[in-house]
Amino acid sequence: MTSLERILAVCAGKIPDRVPFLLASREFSSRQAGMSLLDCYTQPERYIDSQVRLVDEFGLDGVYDIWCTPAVDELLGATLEFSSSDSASIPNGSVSCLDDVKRLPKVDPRREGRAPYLLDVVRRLKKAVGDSVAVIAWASSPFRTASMLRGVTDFYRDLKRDPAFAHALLNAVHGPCTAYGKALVEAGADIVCSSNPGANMQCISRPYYEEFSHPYTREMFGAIRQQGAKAVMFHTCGKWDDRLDLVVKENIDIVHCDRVDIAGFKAKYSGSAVLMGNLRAVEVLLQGTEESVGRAARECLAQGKEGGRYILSADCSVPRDTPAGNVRAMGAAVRDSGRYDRGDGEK
Amino acid sequence: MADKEQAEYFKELSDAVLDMDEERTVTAAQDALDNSIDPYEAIQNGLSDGMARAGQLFEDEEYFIPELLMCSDAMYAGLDVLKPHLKATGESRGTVVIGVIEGDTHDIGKNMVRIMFETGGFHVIDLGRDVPPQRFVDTARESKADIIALSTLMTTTMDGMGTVVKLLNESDLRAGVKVMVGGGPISPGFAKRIGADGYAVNAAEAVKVARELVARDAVGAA
Ligand SMILES: [Zn+2]
Repeated sequence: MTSLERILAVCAGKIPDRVPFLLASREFSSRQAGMSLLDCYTQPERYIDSQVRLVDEFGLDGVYDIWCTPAVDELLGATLEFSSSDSASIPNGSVSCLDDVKRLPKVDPRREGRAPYLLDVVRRLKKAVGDSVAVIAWASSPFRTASMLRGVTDFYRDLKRDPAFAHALLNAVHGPCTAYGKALVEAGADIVCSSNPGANMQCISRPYYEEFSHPYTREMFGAIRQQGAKAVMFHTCGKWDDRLDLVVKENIDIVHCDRVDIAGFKAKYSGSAVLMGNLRAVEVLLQGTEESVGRAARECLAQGKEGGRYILSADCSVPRDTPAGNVRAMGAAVRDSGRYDRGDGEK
Repeated sequence: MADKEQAEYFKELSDAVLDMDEERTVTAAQDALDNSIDPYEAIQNGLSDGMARAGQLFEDEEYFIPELLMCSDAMYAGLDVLKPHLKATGESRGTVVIGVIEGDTHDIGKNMVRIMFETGGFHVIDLGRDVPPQRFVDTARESKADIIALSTLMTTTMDGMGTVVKLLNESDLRAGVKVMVGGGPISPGFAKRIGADGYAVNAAEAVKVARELVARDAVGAA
């Protein structure tokens, strides 16, 4: 069974040979290759090599693009600030009124701005790993892009003060966000991944999530699926407990969970989505020992493995200074404790 | 003037902030002034009290960032009315320099803390992300800051936090500047180990801790 087949098996509700193993690894892989995050934007071949090396060295079942790069936001007029060690950020909003929304440019992510570079990285990643390994690529969701263009705090205010304006902006960015997601599929991404920490339980209430995030992501992910994505993944960064039931209805195949109880999630939502997670990235993977990582990984497997529908991962992206031995210990755990014996497969 | 009456003005200010009602807060502030309520007390026991209650609701997951922002807008609107009538200074609780050192892919934690500081009456200088430790110290010097706040949700910046404390110890500023840390991977034990003065488990708590640190400092200086 290939890595990609393994992942698609759990998405289809089948039992693979072993639990798949994925890590959001942009920071970690570039550090392993001695690159800064800035280098990712000028040296595509080195970034691609760094990802391919992780598959060979740590037994990961997929590679990640230069995720969390808000290419669409930039096409729509945002100014990105790059840093050697952190995701590109957008310090200031560029949209302040309805006229600005109407003036947002029509964009073609295949041709403009930084998007073609990112799409090319996806294309080359797919070529490098071939059909057997999953390529996972990140696309911004409408809520995230809208709040970046508007400025985070002003967008939060809009939700209360001027919900019609918030919806107008969301509707305007929905098309470009979706177009970029589709372009990722066209370029060879097997799995399109998205995340939106600003819509978690620490930021907005469930009714607001239901009104301003849920319908837009559901539509966008539906279109990306139609475009031929083999799976759609959503990373619930932060606390999402009170809205996971909505998340799993957003045309999502895999929920990459932050801190949830694995067994509890599986009991409730296994019928709707595959759970991916959630060994603690900082406290265990970064700060722990090979022994404690192995133990934590086996605990995750003990809770998640039964009945399939589970992918072993960390609860967020892997910190860049994570010891390689700790990642290796996680891989070792999945190879010995993640195996499905013949016979405990399909009923 | 009867105490009960004063308390009613305070309560109306506090409730108006909590209810996110800017207009009502402005009216209540004007009303308090017209009835000779001390503006400083109106800020403390009215506006700030409302904001503190909002912070509690935020902690209890009944209020979220949009609600907190509306409360803070109402509070600032009330402050605009009351501030010109303050006798002495003291409208600001102090200056906070805040930022993320490096390696953190999330700055929502820091932003939340910043909002809470601002709404809690602090003057905040936000250095953003990827900030070298030395810049915290330099900015604290330039701005005569009372507090340096290092916040993170998910991080590899823990060593950098220790470095900030070290640099501060080596400077001549240590006596006047408190360092507080908080966020996902940070524990009270870690804060103590690196020599930080305060630790907060979340954004609402951060403001409480900051107030205590500044108050303690004022007592020490007296
Ligand atoms: Zn995360």
